Formats: sequence, C-alpha cells, structure tokens
Amino acid sequence: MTTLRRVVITTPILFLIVTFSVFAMMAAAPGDPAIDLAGQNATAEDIARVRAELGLDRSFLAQYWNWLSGVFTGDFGNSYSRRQPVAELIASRLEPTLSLALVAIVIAVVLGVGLGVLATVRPGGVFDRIVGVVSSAGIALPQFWVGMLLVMVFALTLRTMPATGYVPLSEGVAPWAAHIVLPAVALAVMPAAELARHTRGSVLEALDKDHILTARAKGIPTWRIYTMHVARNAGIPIVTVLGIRIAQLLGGTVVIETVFGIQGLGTLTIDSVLGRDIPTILGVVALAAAVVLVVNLLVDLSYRFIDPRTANRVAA
Amino acid sequence: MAARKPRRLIGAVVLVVTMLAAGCGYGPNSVSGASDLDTAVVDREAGLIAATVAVPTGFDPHRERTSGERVYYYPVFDRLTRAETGGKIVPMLAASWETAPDAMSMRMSLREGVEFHDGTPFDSAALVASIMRAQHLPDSVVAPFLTTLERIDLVGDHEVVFHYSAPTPDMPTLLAGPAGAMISPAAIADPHRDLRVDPGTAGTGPYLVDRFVPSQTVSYVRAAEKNWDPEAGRLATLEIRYVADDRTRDSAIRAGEIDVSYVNGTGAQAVRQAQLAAQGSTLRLVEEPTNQLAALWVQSDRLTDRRVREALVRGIDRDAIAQGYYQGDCVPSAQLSREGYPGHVDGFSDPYPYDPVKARELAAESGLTNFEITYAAGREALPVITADNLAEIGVDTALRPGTSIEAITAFRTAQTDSFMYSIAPEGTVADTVKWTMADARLSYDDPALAALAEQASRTVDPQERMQINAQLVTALAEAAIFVPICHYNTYFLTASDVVGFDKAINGESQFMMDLRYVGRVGEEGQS
Repeated sequence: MTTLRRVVITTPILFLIVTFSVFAMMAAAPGDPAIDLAGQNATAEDIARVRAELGLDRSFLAQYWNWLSGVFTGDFGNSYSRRQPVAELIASRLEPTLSLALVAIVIAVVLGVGLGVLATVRPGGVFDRIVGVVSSAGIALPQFWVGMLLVMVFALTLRTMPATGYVPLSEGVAPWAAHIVLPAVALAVMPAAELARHTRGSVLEALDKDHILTARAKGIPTWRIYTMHVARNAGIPIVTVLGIRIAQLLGGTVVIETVFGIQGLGTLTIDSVLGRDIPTILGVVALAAAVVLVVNLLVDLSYRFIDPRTANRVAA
Repeated sequence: MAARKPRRLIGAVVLVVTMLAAGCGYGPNSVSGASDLDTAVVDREAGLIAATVAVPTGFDPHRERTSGERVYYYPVFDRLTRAETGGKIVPMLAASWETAPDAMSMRMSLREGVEFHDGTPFDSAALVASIMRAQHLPDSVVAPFLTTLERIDLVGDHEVVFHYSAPTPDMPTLLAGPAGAMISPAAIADPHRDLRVDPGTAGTGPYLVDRFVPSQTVSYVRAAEKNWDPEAGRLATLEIRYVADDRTRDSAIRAGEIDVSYVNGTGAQAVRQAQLAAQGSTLRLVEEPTNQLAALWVQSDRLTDRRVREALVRGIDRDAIAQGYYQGDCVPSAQLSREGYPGHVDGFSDPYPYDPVKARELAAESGLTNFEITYAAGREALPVITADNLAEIGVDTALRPGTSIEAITAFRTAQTDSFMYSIAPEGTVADTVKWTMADARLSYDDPALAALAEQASRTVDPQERMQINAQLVTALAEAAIFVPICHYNTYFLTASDVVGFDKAINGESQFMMDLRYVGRVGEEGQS
C-alpha cells in the first residue's frame, strides 16, 4: 500500500475516531455550557432556552451528527461563548501558534541535531558529557519553568526581550522575532534535548557500521563520511523522533502561550475547555489531527529521500 | 586545547548576551515619581494598557453575563449615580435627588447639556427609555433591582420623579450599578443593534470602543467631543486586556509592557510578589479595602438542622485563615459588611465564634459526618483549608470544582451542600439579603429574616433604620446560613506615572475598576 493511499484511507477514520472521542468526553464531563452562557443571574427557564438554542437538548448522537454534517459543508459551527464561526476564530488564532511552533521546530532541529552530531566527534569527551547533562536537564525541566526562567533573565533582568504578547509578522520581522524567540526557545528545549540524545545514539551506532569503518580506513574525510554515509543510516530514527515531537509541540503551546500571554490556539483551547465551548474544542482537535496526519505523511515521505532503499523495501 | 573550546563557547555566549543587553531596549521607560491627579500635569496624548482577570464578553449593562463586564463598559456607559470607596453615593448623570419622607418617590434632577455620542440629548425621556429597558428587557439581569418602581413622571426636560409601590430609600444606590446605566434612546430603538458585541456611540462615557476581541481585549479611544465630566477621559487611548495568569501579568508590568495590573488578592503569594516588584522600582502598589466577603454559603434548605450549620460556623477558623493563608491581606469578619461600609454594626458580638470542641459536639449530635463544598475551579485554597478545619471536627469533606457559574448553579439547584463564594454586598445589608434570598437564589427560606430585610430596606428614618439593620445582622449570624470568613483587600500594580488610579477603585469587588479618571503624567512632570 502506498503512503498516499494509506493516508487517504486512514484520514477519515482517524478524524471520526478523534472527534467522536472528544465529543463523547465533553458530553461525559461534568458541567453544562448552557449554564455558563445563560449567565450568573439566569433562571431555569433562561438556561432551558439557551440549551434549546444551542441544540443541547437533543440526543448526544443527534448533536454529533449535526456537527459532523456541518463539517462536510465546511461549517465547523459557531463558538458558544464568542458568538463567531469556529473556522474564523481558529484562523484568527492560527498565526501566533504557527509562528511559535515553526520557530521552535527550527531551533529544536538546529540545536538538537547539531549538538547530537558534535557530541559524537569525541564520544565520552568533555563536550559529549556536557551535551549529555544539558539534554538530560532539557528533558527533565518543565516547559513552563523554562519559560518563566527565560522571562526573568531576558525580559526582567537584562531587558533585551519582551516578556509577553505577540506581534504579527505583518507589523515587521524584528518585533515579530523579538516576541517569538523566548517562547519558541522555551517550547524547543525539550524536543531539542530529546533530538540531541537520539541523534547522538543513532550517529554513534551508524559510525560503528562496517562500511563506515571501511570508509575511514580508506581515508575519506570525516565530514564526507558524516554527510554521505552516517546521515543516511542515522537519519530515519532522527526524523521519526522529530515527527513525534512536532505533533506534541501543539500540546506544549497550551502552556507556553499562557506563560507568555500569547493569544493563540493553546490559550483558545484552555478557554474553550473551561467554558465547555464544544464546537471550538472540536475545531481545534480536528486541526490538531490534521497536523498530525500531515506530519506523519511528511515523515513517511522523507524516509525515501534519506534512504532510497526504504522505498525499494516497501515496493518489494 | 580541547578543554578550552567549551570555555570559549561559554565566553562567547556571555558576550552575546551582554551585547544584547546593552544594545536593546525593552522594559519600562524612565518615569517621574508618583503623583496625585490634582497636582499632576496630565499628558492627554498618552495611552495606557491595563491587564485584569475580568473577561471581556460583552458591553450591555442590562444583560451582563458577569459583573466582570463592568470593567469594560464603565468607560463607555455612565450611570445616574456613582459609588465611591466606602459605598458613598455621589452624582454622575443625575445632578441631585431627593427622596420623599415616606420613600415612596424620589425627585431627580439631571445634568444638563449632556449628549450621547450619537448626538441624542440626554434628558428625562432618555432616562425613562433606559430605565424601562432595564426593567422590561426579557433577558434583563437588573430588573430585580427595579421591582418596586411603578412609573417615572417627566416633570421637565431634566427632571423626573420615580414612583414606587413600596418604600425604596436605596434607589440612588441601586442606580450606581448597571440598572442606572444610560443608553441612547436611538440605540435602544434600533432592533439591529446588539450592545453585547458593539456599544458603538450609545453611551455618554469618556471613551468609545475601538476594537473588541471577545475574551481577549478591548481597545478604546477618547470620544472626540468634550465630555460632560471635565475630569474624565484623560487618555488618548486605553486598552484593557484579559490576562488570566497571575505570573504573566506580573511579568508584563515588570517589563513595562502594561501600565496597570490586577494583583490576585486571593493568593498571598501574588501580593507578596507585587510588594517585592514595587520595592525600589518604577512600579507602585495600590492597596484598598473592599466590601467583598469570602464566605462559605451553606445550603440551609438541605441542611435544615440548625446544629449542623452552627457546627460549620464554629468549626472554621477565620482568624487563622486570614492571618495564616492570606497573611493579613483579608480581614476576618463575622458579618456581611466591612467596617466603614453601609450596614456594618460596630461592637457586633459573634454568636458562634471559633470553637472546635463545641463544633465537634454539635457535629456528632446532629450526625454531620460528610459534607460537600462546591467552588470555582482555580480557587482551591480556601475550600481545601476549610476541609482541613472540618476534618478536625470529624467531618469528611468532598470538594467539587466547576466554573464559577456552574458552581453557583449547582448550589442554587441544591446539588451540593455548600458553595465557597465571595459576595460583594449590593448596597445595604438588607438589599443584599433580599438579593441573595430572591434574585441570586442562594436558597434559604427564612420568613423572619425576609421580614427583617424587608423592614430594614423600607425604613426611612436613619436611626430606626440603623437599629433594624443591627437586628438583621444579628439574625443573619444566628441563622448561620453562611460562614463569613474575611473581607478581601484589592491590589493593583501601576506604573508610577499613572495618576488618578485611586479614583478607579471603589471597593465594590476586588477586580472592579473604572478607568475614566486615570491619566499619565506628562513629559514636564508635576506642576
């Protein structure tokens, strides 16, 4: 089965499973969105009226089908609490989160892969040990703590970076970059640390292979051995870890956006969960599922570029 | 040689960081010292950003979802009267008023020369349109405050007489809240206008809403025309942001990204943090008492045995909570109203002081072994401490969090034994008791209390009123329908060039602020 065909088949199944699960969980969770929306002085009649307006008085399956049939026509429904279409709401919050995630990925890849590879130059050496300690710390430290530490050092003590907020790219690259660096670094620390460890392990394993030893014996320069031979062998596990981490980055934005006061999808998710805003939660979840699918697809496709033998194995 | 490489790397990082520190410029601008509004030269072109925990969900005073919306619509909509710190009622759009000796009517003179931003004059007819809307809008949340209002007679263009079905001496107090908000008759008549999402030019306040991002932020610009109140509208632009996280607000104001920050007074840690921030910096910590009472509201319809409720009151150590957990930021109280506020009884004797031995006896006698506390998620400390207190008298407590509206609804619908609530008294003690019994539906049915509250709110003679109020406060404590814990203080951090902030807070509740008189000191500093 080709990667594309697999994606085409699994996408709708995954979408249904994920959205139905979330819908069921929200329905089972304590609380009633109609109560919140009706306000603190609402009577029982007011709450019943709001419940009927939102269609919450219908059966669970009818509510889900109503939402799903809307999705088929591109209508993700209206946010309960914000009185605006969910698609519009998500679009308005997409840029900060996308910026944050993309910059964090770049930082994680550059730092993680770079440090991981450098650590293998002299295994057991000082630099290798420093990378080991730093990456262990990076994995162990909670993201919110790293974020607060960065704010304390760079925004409050050195005063070189803003502490909170987000400036859209349309208002200039410099202010955008200034506002995105600290949260992106905080978000990148954990994936970078994990990538560094995986890269180190994979590269060392590749370096032990017979053909690498042969290449060294032949006197091929180290940089050429790394780029031509090691990268091909070590690349697949690294890209696999990266794919998993990218999918998890979206979860991390929930915490980081709160710490840095960024109004993105993470804070939207928190507000929506607390406010029982089911259409918005489903919209965000559908988007997250789509991101995971796309990332998985890209990871699968990248295997063929890293090591063409993979494609041959699949084809065979 | 190899060992030197890491050292060089570290050195390079330090150098880069130092260069960045020297070369870039985020952080508060240098500001002159703190100044008072009366003596400061205000920069009328300045802007101000405030961050608070109140969520911007709408602007319609008569259909507010929570009282937090007031923070966002007060700069736009003026009321007839205004409450100052301590509950003193002063004129706003009403120039003066006189209540009849029997409190069955009130003659009110209106300020002349005032216009709504859409050009409609503010006159007697406009007042009637607004009050009728507040009273008759199907989903009005303020109608319960106007139940005794029978009609309003137009005596002149700027003079009206309110007529009541029962004595209502506290109407000026009630008109200081959303019930007294004045909305342009043109906006009221327009069926397509939804003031919840766009107040437009329907107000007479010093500011107009420029941008509203629901649940995020509201930006204002000063209204172009001169405001009827020369003291109001001192800023060219104003932004009020919803920032839920205490640390994020703290970081933002320390970094100079916002100018006013609400400090969460329900957690001593945030207050200590703010005190530290204000020491030796350009920030100023503003502290004021509020009449907001932290209380455990007991479901007396469910816990009908008075001994059960008495055991709860005697079993909770309010002094320890106030001094220990709140570290003095919350003042212990055995009555609804704080000292200095309407309805506070001096020399009040608490009928059920903290007495864990007696509480344990009462709990055992009445068979109280299990108890539930519902509370707003995120405010766990007080319920947890209370549960610990109750464990000491042999009561096992289950904690049930929810959103604030869910928690209050669970209590109203008798799904729980109690609700940890911070109540901001509405006017007098009598009005608050009536409000909690009827409109807030904090579910307790005590005819004697209801009669006393009715009598207290209808009594006109000040001396007699004070006596009945004292009886009501005592009866309320003896009925043990809630466990009073302590009255909160309110705290805000402001940049030191912010002036007039003392007038922005009136003690109504912790997060409440009206930024109409707030300004910033100009370049030339104080005059």
